[in-house]
Amino acid sequence: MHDIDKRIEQWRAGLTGSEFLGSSSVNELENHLREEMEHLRTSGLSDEEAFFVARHRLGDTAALEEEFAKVDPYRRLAHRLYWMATGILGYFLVLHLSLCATKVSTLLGYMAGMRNSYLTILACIVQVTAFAGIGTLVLRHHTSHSKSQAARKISGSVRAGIFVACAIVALWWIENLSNYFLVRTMPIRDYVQLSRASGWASFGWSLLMPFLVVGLTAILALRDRRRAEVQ
Amino acid sequence: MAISKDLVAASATPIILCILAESDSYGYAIIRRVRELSGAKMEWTDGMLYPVLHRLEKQGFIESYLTKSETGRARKYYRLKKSGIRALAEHKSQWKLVHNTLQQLWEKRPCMT
Repeated sequence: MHDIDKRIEQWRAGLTGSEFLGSSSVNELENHLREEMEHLRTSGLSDEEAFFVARHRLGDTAALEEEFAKVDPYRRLAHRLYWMATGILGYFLVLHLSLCATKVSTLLGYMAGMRNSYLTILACIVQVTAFAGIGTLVLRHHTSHSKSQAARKISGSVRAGIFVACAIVALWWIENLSNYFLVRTMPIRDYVQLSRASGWASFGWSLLMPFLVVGLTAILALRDRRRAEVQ
Repeated sequence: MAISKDLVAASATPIILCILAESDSYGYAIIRRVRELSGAKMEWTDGMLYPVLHRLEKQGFIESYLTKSETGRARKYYRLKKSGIRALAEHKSQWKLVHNTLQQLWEKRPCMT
């Protein structure tokens, strides 16, 4: 019985993560599942079999979520707008993170005595590292995000949005202060070298960015589908 | 004989309203009643009942209240409201019209049985 309770708890956790199912709806579905299991057990099915059949009869999580989403179209619209805003904010965060990393690293390289093509190579290495780093971070965050139910609630999302917006402003300041420092202190010839390095890095980034977006979207969609199948 | 998804979806609202017109009920009992009435030929995906109930509640046709079940867990019952009775009457006349139309057509062409 203990195992079955654990399985029901796991199934429940999958539903609780949904944006469109409140705790009252999840309780209602759990009651239904338990009653159906009880009925199936009296027909001679084992706990495990009863759970499997009752869960199947209730329908898979993705389909349930889709149907519950239709109950409140405005909430659904808000949900979509939220993801659009997340996408836009995410894009600017990544862009500024990349620009900031390039500016700061080339500046540090310059201060350490690096010149000409070495600076360009350094900027490109930083871009590739940022590319790999952002990809890893998003994938890791998505894993913990899937596990955590509370993280999927709107209140948590708003906090995350504020954090991202603050991060963008902070990065923008770092970039501009770096620029200001460079223009004030550096000989024009050296500044040209740094600008060239940044230019190459931005070019590399613009080539990598579509792969990052397409690759991450495909991986995240695949993970979501697998998660829905498991539940 | 399996009933098409579209027909199941279209008939869900009048069936639920009709069952609630008999007496207050809750999700699992409604599903059991549908199975019993249709001789288990009308198979709903159980979970899909709840979004329909919630939509009907949002539209003001039914209302819900909580009571304790035999196991001690809170159970959500649904009750038909006056506007729900009116909606049910409207559904009945629409379905009767569809039924009469089909009946007349089928009677004219007895080979289609």
